[in-house]
Amino acid sequence: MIVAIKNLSKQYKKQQVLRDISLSIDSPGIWALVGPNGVGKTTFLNIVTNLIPATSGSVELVGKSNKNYKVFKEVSYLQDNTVLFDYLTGYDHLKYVCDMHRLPAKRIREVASYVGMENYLRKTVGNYSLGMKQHLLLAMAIINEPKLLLLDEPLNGLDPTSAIMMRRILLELADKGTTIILSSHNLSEVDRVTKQIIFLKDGKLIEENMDQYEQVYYQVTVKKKSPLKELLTEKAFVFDETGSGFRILLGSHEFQSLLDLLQQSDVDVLDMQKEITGSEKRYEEVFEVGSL
Amino acid sequence: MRLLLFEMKKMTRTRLLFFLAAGTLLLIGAIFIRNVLQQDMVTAEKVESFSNHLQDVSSQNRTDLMMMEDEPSDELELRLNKGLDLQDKLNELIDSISKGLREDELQGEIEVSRSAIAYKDARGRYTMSHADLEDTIRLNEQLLALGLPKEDPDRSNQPPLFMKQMMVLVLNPVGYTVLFLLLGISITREFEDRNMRMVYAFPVPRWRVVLVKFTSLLLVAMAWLVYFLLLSYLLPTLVMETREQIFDYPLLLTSGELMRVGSYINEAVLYSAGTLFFAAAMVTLIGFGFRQTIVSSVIITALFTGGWMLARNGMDVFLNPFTYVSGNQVILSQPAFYPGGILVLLIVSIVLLFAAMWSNQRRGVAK
Repeated sequence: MIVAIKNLSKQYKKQQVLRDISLSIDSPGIWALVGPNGVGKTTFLNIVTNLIPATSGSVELVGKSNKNYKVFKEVSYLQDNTVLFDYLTGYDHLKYVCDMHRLPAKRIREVASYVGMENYLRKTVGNYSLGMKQHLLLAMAIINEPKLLLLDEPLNGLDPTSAIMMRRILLELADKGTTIILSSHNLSEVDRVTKQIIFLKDGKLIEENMDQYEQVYYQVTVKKKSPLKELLTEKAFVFDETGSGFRILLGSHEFQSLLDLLQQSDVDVLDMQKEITGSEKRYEEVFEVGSL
Repeated sequence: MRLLLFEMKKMTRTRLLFFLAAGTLLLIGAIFIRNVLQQDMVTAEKVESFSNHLQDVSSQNRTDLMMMEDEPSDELELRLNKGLDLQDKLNELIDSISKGLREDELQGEIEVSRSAIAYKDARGRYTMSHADLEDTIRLNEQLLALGLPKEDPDRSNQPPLFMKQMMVLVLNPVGYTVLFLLLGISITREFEDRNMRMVYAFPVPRWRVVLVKFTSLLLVAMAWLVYFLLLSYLLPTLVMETREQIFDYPLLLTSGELMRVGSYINEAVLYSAGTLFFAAAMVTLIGFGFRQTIVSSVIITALFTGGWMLARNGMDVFLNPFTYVSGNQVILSQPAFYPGGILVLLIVSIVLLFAAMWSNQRRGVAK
């Protein structure tokens, strides 16, 4: 068992943060821990890694109790970037992690190259951008090729290039057999990396597969809206108007219909982006997000 | 070992060591220059001090002479004779000091002291006590035997005496408090800045994190002590002419016995090393316990000053580690505590260190 959480509870004075949580994960892949800000995602990960002691219950990671420090030989935890030492370089951090895991120094170059941070490896972290810090944290987390990777908001604040790279790396690691649990409140990013979502609500976990909730949209940017809007309405497409075009909901069989429609309408399509959502709708249900 | 090297790297990168080294150099340099500049004042102050004695004795002699004319008595006559003798000796001494005749000055001071004792025995007034006068005689006899001139212990530029002066000035509760407030920040800041959460998520037992922090504090403190002692020794050695046998220069203990300044330095260095060990363990326990710079700083300051004040006010018992925080005081007033006091410091330090490691073992690091 990679993750075995049994009856985990955490109480701060009168506030019950986690309520009798149990969770089992026994295969590689990516799981997203989702919930609004302040719901306790970071606390949950901190308790799982024993950075915060639980009030009751037990946690086993890769077959060992989380209270055993040796668990971190095969488990890495990417925390927020405040854990970094601003006055040290990226190289210093990676050398430290290498030393902790008794890995050869050549791993530093390998992992720096893998996450694309060779150019600023020798700069002090205080001069890093948010994206650079996330790269460093990721490099530190994967340098020991862990079986289990826990990531706290890894995609937070990343520019599109960094976000794409981070996603690719996570998917590649999962393909290679790493089990990844990442916390996020960014549902569109979550949908791009996994369908296995764990909602955290009122101290309880709700584990679900998003296949059943998946929806495909196309963001179509056009030069002029008017002919297309009428045609979409006429053909009974579900769509929203956006600033410069439409956000059109598709079933998988309707994509060709949409292309045909665009050709028939003779409109100038400036851009067309695919957008997959699934968790958002379910999120609205779980967290009872009301309409505006 | 690797964890320790990383700790040392962090210490060097924070510039703490640079500021500590620069501050120490500035302080020692400033005191040394002050001592050099005040050498002429030492002679002038000696002359002034003995001139004041001379004035008092002369005045009393005049009074006694008038009284003898009015109403002579054996007692008065004895005091007058002793007073006139003391007056002569003081004049000779002032003359020797002014001319820079060091050997004559020592001999003259012995004779003045003996004469003053006799004068006091004859009910004459002299502002020094019997004990002080006897101490002066013992000290000067020893200096004459060694062929050394008398130094002002607070303004000498002879290496061991300058070292002693610096040790009294710096290796005291205030000095240790400042040093460990600076070093202690390296623990609490890592909790406040959340860096410690990263350290706790590596395959390293938490007790070892505590031990490594303690070791790094101790190593930096010891390195600073060596640097401080070397500077205090080298500066006068390189700049001034060192007298032969200067490490045998006698110091007076509270009991009136004499001690070589070389022995004093040996004891002071060992007490300082022991105190650094004790302070590092205490700061580790407080830093890992409270995890906040302000709270920890207040507690460290209160403990050092409070403990030292207790030790000064009758609690300077053998088993109280704060007795040894002021090395000068314990060396001069409690010579019997050496070397057992160092053992006390080491044992208390080990207990504190174990307490820090134990209490941190199961405690979390995040909120």
